[in-house]
Amino acid sequence: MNLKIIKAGICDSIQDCGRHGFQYMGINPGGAIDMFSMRTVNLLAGNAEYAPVIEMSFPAASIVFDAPAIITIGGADFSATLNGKPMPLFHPVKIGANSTLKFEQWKEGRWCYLAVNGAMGAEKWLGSYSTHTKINAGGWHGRLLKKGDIIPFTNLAPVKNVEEKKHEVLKCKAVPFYDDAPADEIFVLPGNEWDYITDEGKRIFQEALFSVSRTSDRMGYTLDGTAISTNMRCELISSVVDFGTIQLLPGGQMIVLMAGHQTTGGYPRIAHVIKAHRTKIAQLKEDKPLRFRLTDIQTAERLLLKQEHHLTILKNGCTMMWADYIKK
Amino acid sequence: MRTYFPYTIFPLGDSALTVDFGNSIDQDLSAHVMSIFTYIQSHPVDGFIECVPAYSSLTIFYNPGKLKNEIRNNETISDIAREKLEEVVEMKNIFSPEKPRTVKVPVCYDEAFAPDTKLVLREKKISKQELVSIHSTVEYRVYMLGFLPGFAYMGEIDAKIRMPRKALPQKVHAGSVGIAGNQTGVYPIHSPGGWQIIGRTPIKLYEMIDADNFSTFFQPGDIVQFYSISRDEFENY
Repeated sequence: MNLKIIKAGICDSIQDCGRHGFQYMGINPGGAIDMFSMRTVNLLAGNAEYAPVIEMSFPAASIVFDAPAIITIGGADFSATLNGKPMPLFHPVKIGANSTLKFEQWKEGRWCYLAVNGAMGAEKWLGSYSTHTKINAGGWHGRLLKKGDIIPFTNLAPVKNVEEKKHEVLKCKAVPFYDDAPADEIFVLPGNEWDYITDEGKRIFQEALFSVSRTSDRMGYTLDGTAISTNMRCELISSVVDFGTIQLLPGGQMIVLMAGHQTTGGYPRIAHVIKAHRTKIAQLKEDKPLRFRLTDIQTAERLLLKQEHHLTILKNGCTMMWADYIKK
Repeated sequence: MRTYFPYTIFPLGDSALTVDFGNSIDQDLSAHVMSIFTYIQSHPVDGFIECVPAYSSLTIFYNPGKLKNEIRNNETISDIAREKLEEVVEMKNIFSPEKPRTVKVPVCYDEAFAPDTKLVLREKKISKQELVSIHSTVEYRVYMLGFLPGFAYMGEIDAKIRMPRKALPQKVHAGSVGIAGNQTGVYPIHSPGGWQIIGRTPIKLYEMIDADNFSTFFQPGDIVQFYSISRDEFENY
């Protein structure tokens, strides 16, 4: 089965869980910006949790599949249509040959994931399929997907009884994951330079509303909102940063480092988004204001383990469902 | 020479920890950081994903899902990771530097490759010969790699040619040699960059060996000596 890009999106690339163990050479891990959605669509499509997927922002690519397949999309809602009919998020769908997937309108979220059942014929570099656009390696020739790209898939589960240009939504779906926090609250842990901020700055950080600016990308989300003032004018020596690190720029603006961040940075790290809330901040659009809430390591770890537990249950369910499907 | 380095360990969020030996650029400190890094690379710690050295600190990324099985009593996963890290740092806190490697790097300081040289000469009131001689006389130490694959942060620059970073990053050509504050470095690939560009090297700064192997020209701990080459030598290198 081949997947063909008939119209390019603006920032569509192949991603997986990222490239680990090479940051000491300056190679950033990359990987899906919303790992939770990526893992969920993979499981629903009958793939290994960390298999490569196509990550899309809006406007997203239009895609044609030349043979029957099983696909799942999830994450942002771009009003997807399959063969002209609305396609649900987080459901496996059986598609006939020459089915067309399109994304019509930007509704919710920022990043939508497409998992296709089977082995994607993409390039693995340093243990990962994630696209490293700076050095042009991994994924699809190390670049964003463009019109005319044809990505092959092998080892597909059998797909029977579905006509050309038709599809069938399978009954199974993922139960949405809710955490304890309100939708607009992002939990953070204080960073090593938290005390660089004035008391007034700390108050603003915790009470004011911020929004993700339009200039944000896979590397980082710059936040619009009240500037945060600092106490100190001490130059920091560059050191390591992570996905979720909130850096304070000299003008008082904050930038949240995302999946495509550089390995090191020299700005004060005032806080870190907890790992369980990476998916939440990744999907925030400009019109959805957010509020930061300081939390403690116990809460951060509890929420992360809860999220992992949710995925384990999903994984067990999907494993059983796909074993049944193959038997039939 | 010091034999013990005081340190603090602080969390970098909920899945990484940084051992910090102080906010300073110091050869002994850097050598110490590298000795711990080298030890962890050859003696992997269960539950650690990777270890990244910086100027005066070292960060480890850990897998909370793996480490949670080792929790006793009221400990957090972060506590477990910290105990494991402390154990290594304490054990390695006896200073044993490795012998550094010296690498020579040709640089063409021709203005065609050095869009910011004019500004440096004007600001620092020096001649081009002085700039070249000052930049290529000092032996630099590679403190860490970061920013881009194979990008080496080196120090320290002579105070006579220290320049601030640019206010806005500009397009920089691969091989460009830049200076910023007391640091100097070479851009391995085309990239936006904020350092003042004063020359270019013909050397390739990384090699994609195969799908599983990557090597960088510079390594932390290296002693680097730049030497000036002509435009002709650059073109025929």
